[in-house]
Amino acid sequence: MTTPPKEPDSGGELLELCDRLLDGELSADGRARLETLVLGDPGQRKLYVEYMQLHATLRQQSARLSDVPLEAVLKEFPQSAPVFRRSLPRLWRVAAAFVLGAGISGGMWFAQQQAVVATLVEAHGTRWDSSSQPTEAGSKLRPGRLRLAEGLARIVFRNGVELTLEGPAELDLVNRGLCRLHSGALVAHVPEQARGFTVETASARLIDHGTDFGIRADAAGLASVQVINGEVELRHTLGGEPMRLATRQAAAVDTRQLTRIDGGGEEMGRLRQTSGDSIGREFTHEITTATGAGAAAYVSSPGTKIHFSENLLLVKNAKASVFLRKALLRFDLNPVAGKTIESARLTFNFDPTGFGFASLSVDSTFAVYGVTDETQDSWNPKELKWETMPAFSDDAGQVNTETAVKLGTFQILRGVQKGAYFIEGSGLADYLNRDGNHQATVVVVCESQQPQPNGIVYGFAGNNHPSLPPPTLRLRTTP
Amino acid sequence: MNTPEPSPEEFVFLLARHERLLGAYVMTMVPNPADADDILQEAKVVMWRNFAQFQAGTNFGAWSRKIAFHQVLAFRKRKHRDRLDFSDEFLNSVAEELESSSAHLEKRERALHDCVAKLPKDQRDILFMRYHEALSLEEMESRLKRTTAALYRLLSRVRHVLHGCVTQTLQSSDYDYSA
Repeated sequence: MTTPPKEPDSGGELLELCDRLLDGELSADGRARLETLVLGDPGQRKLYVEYMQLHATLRQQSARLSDVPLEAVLKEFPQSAPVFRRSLPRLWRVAAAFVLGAGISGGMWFAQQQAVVATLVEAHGTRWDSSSQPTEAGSKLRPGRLRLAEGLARIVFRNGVELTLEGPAELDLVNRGLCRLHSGALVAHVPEQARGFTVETASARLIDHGTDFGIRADAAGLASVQVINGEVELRHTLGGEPMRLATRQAAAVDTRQLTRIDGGGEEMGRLRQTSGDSIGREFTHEITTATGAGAAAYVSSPGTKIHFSENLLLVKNAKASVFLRKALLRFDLNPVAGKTIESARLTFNFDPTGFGFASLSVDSTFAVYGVTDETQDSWNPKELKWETMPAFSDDAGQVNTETAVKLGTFQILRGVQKGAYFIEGSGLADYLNRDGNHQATVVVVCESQQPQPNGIVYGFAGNNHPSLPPPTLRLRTTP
Repeated sequence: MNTPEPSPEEFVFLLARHERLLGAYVMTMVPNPADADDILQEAKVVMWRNFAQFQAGTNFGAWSRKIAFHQVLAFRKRKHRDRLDFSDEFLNSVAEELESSSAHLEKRERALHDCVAKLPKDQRDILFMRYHEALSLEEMESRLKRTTAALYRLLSRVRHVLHGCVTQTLQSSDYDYSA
């Protein structure tokens, strides 16, 4: 016969303080009291550690809160870790170790608990980006994201809905009656019994009334819909009258409204902004750093003796003093001299540099600054140095804001090294309109400091890249 | 160089076995979940970089906790001080406690799963929302149509029940520790 545990009486106050701590309501006094209790008595100390461990375990292994028999789970655990084969590249295996925690706690058993929504029946020439779903033909698909880089994938829902996804595309399967098309195109066949099947895009919701239809969408909120046979209902997320589309009718969606497209039933159009008062998608001028007196270069912090690139403009910010880099661009604005710029977008084409480790890096925010001191516009890319660059600041993530103004930022997620990124908006257009000498100098820095000196070095195409275009300004001027 | 290359397989294997307790370890000192996750991530990076110095056959758990402890300190140094930060004395004391009871805590962790399985479904659902879906009490309020105060009490009660259940399970002699 053991005596009953004493905790309920002696630990009541401590547990209450812990509960407040865990649910975010602990006051400074409460924190002090908690410390006093824990420091003052070994029993309370033990209780604190046990209770916090309970909380941490629930959090880390929340996926196990389902009904799976625990014996099975525990047996699977230790063996499930080193599944990496010898043939895998070494860095890959190490990188896997860092995400393993997330993999284990992030839904291993929850996934088993969730119902199968659809089956991936066919895959034509498909290449998948990292996806929360299996991507082999015949795989059962559960709620989650599909990222198709290229090719065609045919998905059959359990209620008979058939989707063909066209890469590149991102699609969330939510349940058998709903999916979210973040970007890309799909063609759907919805049988009678599955009426009401819904596809959501960033700015609209398509509700099916028994049809074949096609839809294309992008993350910026544009979409176009075409009914091949039957009828669908289209609703804008901003509200307003729903639109009904019948066989061979089509509509365009932008961030503001739905627009019927006459004659659009024959061929699916490109995505475009149809309401005039928003950011223009059709640009009338294109200026690159290779145009006219344009220039593109990067600078490295003093002491950097190796790791240079001919084709890429390098950018890096890390907890270090060497190997820091910033990029510098000059645009020749003569082609738009005397015109008012209504809207502008500046695009960068990133490509892997081969320097640093992505696995030792964090999500990175890049800031783009426009140099306002025009006396600094005449820099020579061959002679440019860290300390002599325009709007110099010794901080790799900063510029001198007395001589430069921030035009915008964009983010690149950890592990991504490739792709086109851009800034746009009135900040950029205003800056270009204020220009007085037909030259604009722009600085690109990485605001996020990598915690490791060996963090990733980012690079985007400069003027000498063999295949990618240089940094490009796309402008629309008033006619 | 004659030192053998550290083996990623071995690292991954050891880490997988020890990282759950490591997570709890960090959380006892830094309860903010986002901060604790960052620290844990950084600690794993440091562990891998120094894995060559780890002596095979010695206690990986203790080694990893030592590194995590340093990462906690480094994090505190770097971060803005907060009125809710624990004192250094508290940190040291808690770290010591956790180190000396790590075997006991591993047993508790195993017993916890059985205890969760015994909960009524609605209580498991509450845990699921709070821990797996990481919903705030406010978000749960609108979903469950119960007040945050009631949810707070319920969550506390469920955790208390689980703590008591684990303690009792370990006290009963027929519990198989090796499960």
